[in-house]
Amino acid sequence: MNLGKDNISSNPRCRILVAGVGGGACRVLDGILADWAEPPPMAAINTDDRALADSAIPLKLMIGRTIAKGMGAGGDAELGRLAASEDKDALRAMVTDYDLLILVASLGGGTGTGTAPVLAQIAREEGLLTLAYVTTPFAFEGTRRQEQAQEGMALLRQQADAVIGLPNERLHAMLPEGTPLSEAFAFVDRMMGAGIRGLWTLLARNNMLNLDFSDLQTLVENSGNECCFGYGAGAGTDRVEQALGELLEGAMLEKGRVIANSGAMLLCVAGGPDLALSELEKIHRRFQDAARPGARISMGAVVLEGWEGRLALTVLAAEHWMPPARSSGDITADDLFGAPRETAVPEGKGRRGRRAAQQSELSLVDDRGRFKDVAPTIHDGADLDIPTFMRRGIRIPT
Amino acid sequence: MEPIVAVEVGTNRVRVFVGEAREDGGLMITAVGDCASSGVRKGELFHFESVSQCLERALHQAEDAAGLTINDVHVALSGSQIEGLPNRGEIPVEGEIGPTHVEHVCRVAREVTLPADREILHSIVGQFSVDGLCGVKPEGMVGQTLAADVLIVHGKHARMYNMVRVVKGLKLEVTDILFSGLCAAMAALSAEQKLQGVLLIDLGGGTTDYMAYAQAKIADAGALGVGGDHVTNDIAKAFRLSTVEAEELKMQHGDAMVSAAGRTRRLPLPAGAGETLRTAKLSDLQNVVHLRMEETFGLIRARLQRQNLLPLLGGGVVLTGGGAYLKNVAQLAEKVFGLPCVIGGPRNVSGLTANLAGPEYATGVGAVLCAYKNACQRQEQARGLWKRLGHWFGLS
Repeated sequence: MNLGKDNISSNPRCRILVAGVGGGACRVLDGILADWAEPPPMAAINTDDRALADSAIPLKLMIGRTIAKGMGAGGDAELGRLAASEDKDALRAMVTDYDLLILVASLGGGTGTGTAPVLAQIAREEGLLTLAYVTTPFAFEGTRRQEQAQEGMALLRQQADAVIGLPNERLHAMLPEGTPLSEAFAFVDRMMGAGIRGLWTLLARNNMLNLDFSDLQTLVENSGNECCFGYGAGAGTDRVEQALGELLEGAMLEKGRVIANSGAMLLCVAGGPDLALSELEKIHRRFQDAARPGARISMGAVVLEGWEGRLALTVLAAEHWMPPARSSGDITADDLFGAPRETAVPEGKGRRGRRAAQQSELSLVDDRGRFKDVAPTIHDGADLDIPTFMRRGIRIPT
Repeated sequence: MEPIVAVEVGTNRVRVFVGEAREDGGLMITAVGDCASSGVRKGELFHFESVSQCLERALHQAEDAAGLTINDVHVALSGSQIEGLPNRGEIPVEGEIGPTHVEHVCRVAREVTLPADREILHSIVGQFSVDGLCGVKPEGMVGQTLAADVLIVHGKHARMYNMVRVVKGLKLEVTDILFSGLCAAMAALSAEQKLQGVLLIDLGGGTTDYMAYAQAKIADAGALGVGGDHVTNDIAKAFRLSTVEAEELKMQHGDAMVSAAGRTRRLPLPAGAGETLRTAKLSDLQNVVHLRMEETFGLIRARLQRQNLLPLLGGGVVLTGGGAYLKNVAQLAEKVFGLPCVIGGPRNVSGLTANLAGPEYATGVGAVLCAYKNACQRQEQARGLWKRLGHWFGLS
């Protein structure tokens, strides 16, 4: 078995870019960078040039130089959106060579909230699968930020394939009373980092028990654009119990309620070379017991060097799972313990085609307005007579 | 020389221009007929009777102003169906290259197979090469192969036929059909710009024509079935307004760039009797316009980029057509293309009063200019002075 020697960034199976938009997200990525030996390709996007300069992430993109003047978006999501619109070409160039975009944003602020939907839209147009990892503000941060976060979340759901929400409030419950503010934020950043890391490790590595891009694609595309994410870790002899306890009884998945409600989930187990088969079996059984009957559980495992005695569980669960047309179901023993499957190549072009088909179904005759009587102007499969903002799914409030 | 008449049947206006040759060989516009258009959408005729009436009115205006009777016209044609196709013809030669060789290679270069429903509108000779040496004047040279690069502008036969039918219905003869983008380039670009490489975009009501000159020849041409009417329609859809109201809003507040100030400014929207007054953020309006214009420019940019033409456009971008009046449109074009951009209008002609110098007159004036140069060339040819075929098209 090949343990961590493969060059991940050049792995042709699934090219993943982790992009953080806004100050909060860039902090998360910085955190990942600090305690990760082989970090994935990461990009930091911000309107604040000083914050960007402080970040250690190699790929930095300063947006909205004209509109925000490098001073940040001042908590105004509209300004963030305009900044992103100003530099669409640069954003496009950044994502175009990847298959999967893990978009990290802390909603509520200006840049993250405003820019994330624009970036997701661009990624969608370029045929990437987009997973957005977002946090929503703590209640004490004020209603304005909460509302702005909700609006941003709604827009992001329209553009991203799946939005994985991590409400800071939920994490709040996991912290002991009297935790200092800075520590609370650091904790949020750590949890986000762990989730991203779990997912990335799972997809990018040649694992013992493979989950691949198509598994993820199936999950997120049928998730009703909303996924929940959970993370649990343990060490020592009862590491499995610790990790399971943290996950199934912790606040992140609402004491197991999310698992119980979900129709499908992706489970990633990361452990050291001493990771035992019986441990995997145990984890699988516990999840099967906790989940609703007939839930689709896909499990992958990865062995990391230097992780002796450690175990981490990452879960992506779809509460609003709508099974795809072809049959879905439990994983079988073959799936679990059979030979590693051939990894599917992500169908970038195909996805683009699917989107286009959806769009033409949606384009009602009425959207064409005064052009409804004449032959449509079709360009690359898009009907140019339909207003551009409609085709791009941008909402104009009236 | 007889006065030259050019007809431009646009989506929003129908215009007739009359030009006469001056003694010094220049051209002077002596009369104009102009009236609102109806029966045209996206540059395509769809209601012949309305088009015919509009054209008749414009012709009468021009006849009255010029004091003459119009018998034959040149027609400027646009529409999304028009496409440019670069082609190269090559022939083996022996000894010194003469006019017959040049004529032969041009004929070969023009021989392309088009779909049955298409017809060549223009074939424009860009440059000649002798044994791989590009941009030469071939007559008198010695070599083994002679090549000609041409750009073939072609359109749908049915569309041309429709246009001809309307004109003939008014008891007029069509001398020639010209691609309106070429006409606009003719009028608005200087020889120097063409040498440097330049992109002309004519922003019409229903169509957007473009013409790219690179390395001193026409490198690409085409038309998109998207124009100012689309901007209006987008606004109408976004704010639930009638086309007329949306047009008004576009004229007053339309802006191709989203401004920071627009986010705090609200505009009252037209409301019917009994409706409560609605308002919209200026930045939303700006955004609707911006998205459309950015997309339109982006489509042209993508096409040029595929042919690696963008780095060759040292002369920047010139915008003509009524759409050039849109606020900040040049700024947006600069951003999309990464090239300097200016608003152009008819030049290279005299007799233009100030009210004919606007960008919207480039196509019509250019059509007269095209026709005039064609006529001059024919005269010269008739006099036996054989000139390089179509040389004026590339560089005048």
